[in-house]
Amino acid sequence: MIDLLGLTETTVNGLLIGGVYGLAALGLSLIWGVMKVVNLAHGVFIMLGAYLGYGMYHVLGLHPLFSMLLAIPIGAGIGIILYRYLINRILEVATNELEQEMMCLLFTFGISMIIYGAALNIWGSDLRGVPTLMPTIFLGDIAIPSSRLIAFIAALVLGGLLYLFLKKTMIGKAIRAVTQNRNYVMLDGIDPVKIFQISFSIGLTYALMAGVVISLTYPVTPIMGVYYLLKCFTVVVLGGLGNPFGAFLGGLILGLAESYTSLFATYALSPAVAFITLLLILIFRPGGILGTLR
Amino acid sequence: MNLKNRLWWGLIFLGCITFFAWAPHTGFKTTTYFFLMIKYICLAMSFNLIAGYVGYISFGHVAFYGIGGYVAAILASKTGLGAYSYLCLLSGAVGAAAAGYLLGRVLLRLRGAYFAIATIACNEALRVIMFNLPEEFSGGSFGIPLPAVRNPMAAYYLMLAVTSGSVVMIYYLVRSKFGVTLKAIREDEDAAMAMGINAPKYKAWAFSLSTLMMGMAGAIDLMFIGYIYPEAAFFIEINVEMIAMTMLGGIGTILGPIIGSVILFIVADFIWARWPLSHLILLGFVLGVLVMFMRRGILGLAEDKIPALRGKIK
Repeated sequence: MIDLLGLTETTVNGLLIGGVYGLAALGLSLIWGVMKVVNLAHGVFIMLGAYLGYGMYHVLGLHPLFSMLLAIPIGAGIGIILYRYLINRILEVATNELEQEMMCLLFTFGISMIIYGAALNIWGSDLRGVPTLMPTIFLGDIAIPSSRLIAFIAALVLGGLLYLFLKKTMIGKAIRAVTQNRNYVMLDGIDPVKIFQISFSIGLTYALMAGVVISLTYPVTPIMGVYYLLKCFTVVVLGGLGNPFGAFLGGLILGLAESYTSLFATYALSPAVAFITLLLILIFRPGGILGTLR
Repeated sequence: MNLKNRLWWGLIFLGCITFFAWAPHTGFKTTTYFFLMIKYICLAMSFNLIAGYVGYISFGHVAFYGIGGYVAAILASKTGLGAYSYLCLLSGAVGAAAAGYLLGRVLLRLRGAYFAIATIACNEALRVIMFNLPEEFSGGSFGIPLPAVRNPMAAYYLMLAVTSGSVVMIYYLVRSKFGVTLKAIREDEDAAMAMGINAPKYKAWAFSLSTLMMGMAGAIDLMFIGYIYPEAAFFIEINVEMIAMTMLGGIGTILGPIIGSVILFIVADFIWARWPLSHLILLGFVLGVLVMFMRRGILGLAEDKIPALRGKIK
C-alpha cells in the first residue's frame, strides 16, 4: 500500500529524474527559441553523449563526469560544421518561415536516421551501462541512490551555467536579443547568423553533456535517442522556449508525473505519460503552460 | 491534358496493373516483394495526400496503419468475427478513418513543427499503450497471431485493388473542387479562411481520407502476414520511408509518390538484404540530399531540366 515513506521516496525520485529531463531539454529549447526551428536530431546527440560517457569509462577508465569536458569540443565542432555548411544553406534557400521550419525538420530527421543507423552498426542494439557502484544515501528513512543525486547536481550546475551565460555575458545577451527579434538586432551590429551558429553549437554540446549525465544512471542503447527526444519535447512545451528555468520546471513536472503514475497506476504506463501530457498541452494550451510558446 | 494523352496514361496504368496482377505467379518470394512495393506505393500516396496537397507533414502517420491493423486483429480474434475476415479488414480501415477524422479535427489546429511533434507523440503514445495493455484484450507486447485470417494471395490482390483505386481516386480528387480547396489551404490557410473556406472541415476530411488508406494498408498487411504486434504496427521507420519516398518522387504530384516509392523500395530492399543495419543510413542520407539539393524530387528536377515538361507536372 501507499504510505508516507513510499510517497516521499517517489517524490524525491521524480524530482531527481526531472532534473535530468530538464538538462536534456535545455539544448533543444535553446535552438528552438533562438532559431525558431526544431532540431529532431537532438535525441541522437543525447545518445551519442551517453556512448561518449560509456566509451570513455571502458576505454580510458574516465569517470563520466570528466568525459563531460570532452563533450564541449566535440559538440562545438559538430555544431559549427553542421550549421555552417548544411543548415545555414537550408535556411537561406527556403522562401518563407514555414518552409524553413519544415525543411529543417526533415533534414534533422534525416541526420538522426544516419546517426541512429551508424550507432546500430557500430555498437549494436544491446543495453550497456557504466558500472558506477555507489552507495545509497539515507536521509532518515528515505533512500537516495547517490548516482542519481550526482546526475541531478550535475544537471543543476550545467543549467545554472547556461543561465549565467545567457544573463551575464555579451554573447548570451546577444542570443537573447536574437530570440526576441532577429531583424532589429542587426541595427546593433549583431550578426544573427553568427548567433545562430553559436546557439546551435551550444545546443548540441548540451545534448551531448546531458547524454553523459544520463549514462551515469540509465542504460545506454541506440534507441534511447527517440525516447529522450519525445521527453524533451514534452519538457519544452511545458516550460517554454529558450528559458533554462522553464526547462527545469518542465522537467521536474514530467519527472513527478512519471513517478506518480508508476506509484498510483502502473509502472508500465509511465512511459506513455510524457506523450499524453504533450498531446494534451498542445491541444488545450497551444501556448505552453507558461504561455511563452509562439 | 488532352484525350490522346489521357488514353496513353490510361494504357500505362492498365499495363502496370496487369504486370502486378501477373507477378505473383512466379513464386511466393516475388509475391512478397511486389506486395511490399504496392503497399509502399499506397502508403506514400496516403502521406502525399496530407503532406503534398494540404501542407501538413505528419511524422506519426504510421499510427493509423497500426490502428487499422489492430482494429481488424482485435475484431477477428476477440469477437468471433474471425470467419468474416474481409469485414474485419473493412472495419479496421473505417476505424482508422474515424480516428483520423477525430484526431484531424484536433491536431490540424497546430501548424508546422507543432503538428509534426504532436503526430509523433500520438504514434508513440499508441505504441506504448498497446505494448502495455493486458494480453487478454490486445495481445500486449506479444501481439496477436491470426493464422485463420492469413491469406497472402487474397491480400496481394486486395492491396493491388486498393492501391490502384487510390491512384484513380486521388487523380480525380485533386482536379475536383475539394482538391482545389485543399491546395488553396496549402498555399495560404489564413487567406483561404478569409475567402470563406471552412478550412478545419476540409483538412479533417482530407486527413480522414488519407488515414483511410493507411488503415486499409495496415489491415491488409495483417492479412498478408497473419500476425500483428506493437513494434511492427507503430513502426516509426515506416513513416520515415513514406516521407523519403514521397520527397524522392516529388511531393504534391500524383506520379511522384509512385515513382519515388518504386525506386526507393528497390534500392532499400537491395541494401536491406545485404547490410540490414545500413538501411536507415540510406534513408537518412536520401532525406538529407533531397532537402539540400532537390526539394521537389525527381519530377521537379525533370521539370527544371527538360523545357518541354514545364508546367505539365501537377
